Amino acid sequence: MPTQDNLIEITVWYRGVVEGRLARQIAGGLADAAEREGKYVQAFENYVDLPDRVYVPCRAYARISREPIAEPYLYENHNPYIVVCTDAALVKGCNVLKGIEPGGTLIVNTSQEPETVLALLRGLPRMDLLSKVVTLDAGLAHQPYTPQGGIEGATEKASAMRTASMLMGAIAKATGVVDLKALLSGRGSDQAAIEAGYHGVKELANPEYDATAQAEPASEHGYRGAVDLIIPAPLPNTANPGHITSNYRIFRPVVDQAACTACRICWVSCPDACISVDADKDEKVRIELAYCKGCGICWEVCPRHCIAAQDEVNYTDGVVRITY
Amino acid sequence: MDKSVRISGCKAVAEAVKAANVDVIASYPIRPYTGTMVELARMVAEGELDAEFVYAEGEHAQLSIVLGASAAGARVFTGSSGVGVTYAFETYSPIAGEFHPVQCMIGNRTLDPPGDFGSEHTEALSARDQGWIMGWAATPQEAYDNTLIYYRLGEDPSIMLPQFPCQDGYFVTHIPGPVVLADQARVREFLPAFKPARKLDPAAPVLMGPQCRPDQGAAIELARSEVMKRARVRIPQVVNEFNTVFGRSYQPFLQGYRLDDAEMVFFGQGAHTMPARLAVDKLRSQGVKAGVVQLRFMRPFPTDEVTECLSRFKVVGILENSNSFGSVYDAGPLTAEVHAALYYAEARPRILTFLAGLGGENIRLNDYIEMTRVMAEAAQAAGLKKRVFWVGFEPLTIA
Amino acid sequence: MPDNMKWLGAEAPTETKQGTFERIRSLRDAPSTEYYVPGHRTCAGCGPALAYRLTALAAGKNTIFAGPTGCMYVANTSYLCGPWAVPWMHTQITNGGAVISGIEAAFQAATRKGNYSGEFPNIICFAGDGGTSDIGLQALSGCMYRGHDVLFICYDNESYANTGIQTSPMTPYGANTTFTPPGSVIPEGKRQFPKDLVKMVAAGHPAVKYLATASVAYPVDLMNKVRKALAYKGPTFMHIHAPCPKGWAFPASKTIEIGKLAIETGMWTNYEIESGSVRVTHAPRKRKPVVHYVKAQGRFGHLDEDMIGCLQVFVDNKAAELGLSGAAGESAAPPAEEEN
Repeated sequence: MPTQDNLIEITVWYRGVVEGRLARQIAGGLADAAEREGKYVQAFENYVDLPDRVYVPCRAYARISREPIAEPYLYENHNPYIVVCTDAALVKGCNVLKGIEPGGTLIVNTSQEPETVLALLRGLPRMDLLSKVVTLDAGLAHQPYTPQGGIEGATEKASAMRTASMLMGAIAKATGVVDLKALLSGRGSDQAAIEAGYHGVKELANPEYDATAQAEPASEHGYRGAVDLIIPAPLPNTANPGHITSNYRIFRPVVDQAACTACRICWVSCPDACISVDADKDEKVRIELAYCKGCGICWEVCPRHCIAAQDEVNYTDGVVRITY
Repeated sequence: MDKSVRISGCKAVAEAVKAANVDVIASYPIRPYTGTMVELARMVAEGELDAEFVYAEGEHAQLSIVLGASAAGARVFTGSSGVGVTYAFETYSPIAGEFHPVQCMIGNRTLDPPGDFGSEHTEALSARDQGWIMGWAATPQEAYDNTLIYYRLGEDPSIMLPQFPCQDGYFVTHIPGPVVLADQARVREFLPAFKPARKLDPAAPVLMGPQCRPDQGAAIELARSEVMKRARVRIPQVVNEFNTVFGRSYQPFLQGYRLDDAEMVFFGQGAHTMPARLAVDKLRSQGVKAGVVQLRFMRPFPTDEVTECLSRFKVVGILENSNSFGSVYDAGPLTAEVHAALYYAEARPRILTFLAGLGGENIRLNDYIEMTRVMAEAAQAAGLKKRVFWVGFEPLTIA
Repeated sequence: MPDNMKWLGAEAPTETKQGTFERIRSLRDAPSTEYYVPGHRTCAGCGPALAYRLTALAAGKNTIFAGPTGCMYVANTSYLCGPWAVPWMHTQITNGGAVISGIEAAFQAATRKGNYSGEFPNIICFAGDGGTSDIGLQALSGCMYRGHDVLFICYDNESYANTGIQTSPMTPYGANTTFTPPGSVIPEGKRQFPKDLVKMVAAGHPAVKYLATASVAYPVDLMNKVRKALAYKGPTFMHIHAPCPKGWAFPASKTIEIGKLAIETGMWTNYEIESGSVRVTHAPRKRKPVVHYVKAQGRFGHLDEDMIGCLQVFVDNKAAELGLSGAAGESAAPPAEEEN
């Protein structure tokens, strides 16, 4: 249950650094609109996800209530009613339904069909609480043109991003959490984009939705085990199970093994040691998909252009979902 | 063979550090503790002590060097005074919180200002909440003994806490006093080699000090609190063992002097409790029932012992050698902690605070006499109009 | 050696002993046991993470790392875990040099006193540019001065990155950081030119026998320099250029390309100093104009022609200091060593 009645929690999952501004504009824009409607609001980034890192899944939050928000310092939205993902691979890699409120809605920025998104959700607990999946193709919004990412309490001067505006419109249409009028009346708002998003959504009811299903009560406090600050080191040539990084991927590297000469340039250039090369094998270059972040260095440096970037969402496997 | 000598507190510590066969020493000069490092440098140079003597570029570096060395399994020693202690402040929580039993001697000195070379307990007490074991030696013998006791206590595998053995600058660091230097066999019997279960060693890799989340931080803080409580339980065991091996008669927490029928007692730490004893002797010869309670550990603070002991008396006069500038009753840490310890006591003495000896000023014999007189006034008065006194700056009267 | 290099390292002390090390000839015979394994919360395309991985590959099993606070601490240990298959300890951002001094002293004492019988370990501090040139400078200097048998590596991503990209003494002139944002009053953003780390360490610390700069874009060279540094007895120092997609604002896939562009434009030069002699290991015969480097990174997006001109002068002067000609348009400089 949320910490109080009438509290609507909106969680925006986004890619660190390259989509920080996008997420802040979505969460902040919705909150501002709700405030114009006379509601109590908060909008901020998940503090523990900062500092954000390029492509790492991060969360921004909005909270909207008809009453003053009683527990404003909670680090997370434990019971989101609305979950937004800035790309479909986030659905594959994160438990986006964690704590979802009964009847909640998932909105994903993707050119894929809602059915594809629904398929990506397969296996997540509490599918019975999700009422529908909504998609909007608002385009990619990676803008690495200034050092950006989490603003850490500072302010940000930026004009309205088209993708953010479209997604706000989509969220308003799919959930009614704010009125379209309220969104459009914001100073400096991109009204055309908001309208485009509002009218461009595709909605798909979740066949597993059970309107009578109840959410589990949340625990009051989090981690309560002992914490040892001296921990064993992983073994050489293994991996750190404490931070599995496959869910960073938007694109995955796919190797044309026939064209590859096993020169090892990709192997030596991978910051995450995710590539192994064996000239004697058919699979000359093996990518460790459980950890590959899809940074793209390998496909950039390969002198024979043997590595292609493929949409991660085209594959049903290869990503270890993190519960966060 | 034990050896009786007459040496300063600085040298006494150096002798104990040598006896403890430390592996790594980090030095940096600041008055008045420097003499300890001078002695150790000579011992190392002349082959009396086999240790790495690292001359750090500053106090923050001293603590950092011994932290690294301790993490790699070495028994370590460092020290400082005054602003050197506060300069290294950043390192104290990491060292204590990650359980490295570093020993850092403090030869007390005022902070800037006044920055004079005299002793105040201010600099050490400013670090009292960082999770280190902390206490005062009142004589060079106590300084020698505390060094060994603190290594034993701190390196206990169930504790693993760093320690601040303190001694008043000049009064203890510089004025020689009688010290029995223990036979090395005695030391070996009491203090085994330092063999931590986990240390930096390529043969058994560990990672020390990873980042954690806010919800994990609480558990770490609780664990630190539990360890300090465990230290409180362990102290009497260790001190009693020390007494047996070395033939001393230390009380673990509170060393009492002429308490049996005392009505008024001085409560303090370190050097000033020694002339207080002599003043008490003089007062006793005049029929005044006075005594001294010397606190031997500031951290862990022996709450139960303080409650039980001080509630026996009519008046407690706190010798407060540090000012907290705006704290409760505008006094220092001892005042706050003693009041808290006595709040739930069955019988509560009247408590006076004497801000005395600040700046390193002497507390004269006559001052103790006058302090006792105002304590006697307080014992009789209907109420206390005044409880906190700056000795030497105002009349000592509660009227 | 050019005249202005005379101040670097006087006579080689008689105790100097260049250790032998196993040189990596090519990628094919590079070491393949990973001691910095997958699983760390660094950026996709993180240059410093690659530097760590290459250093760990080169240094091998008998290694202890000390990690001052910074990206390579926080990102690597989020949360309560880590990717090092060798011993590692956290240090404050202020004291990496001091902590490795202590670790080294412990092993010296333990070896001498018979408490440790293993081979003396590689002890490496892996610090960011803030923890090396700024808040950590004092501890670095003390360590280099005292002659501890350690290697201090600065992974230079040219900012305080972990706190969200703020200027450090290694941030280039003209870079946009959150403490040097361009504005009407300060149009260039960062006004100062960076410290010269290797010069600072080399000039004043006679105990340091070997210093080197390296780049993640030249991994074989980097790994060999790590091995050479570790083979020296006494303190050694490395300064590694580690491009940062977050802080420099370029796509994550371009890390190696940016690293190469730095060398091609002269914004970075790979060289080493052994007992006072400077040897350039990577420099272009003819440098590309620095504008190519500038245009490839968002952190320079606000620079006008004059400012780029300032940067070009800086680059030309730096090259001259190292005895390189090769300015854009001029003829040949010392040939570059190709090791890949």
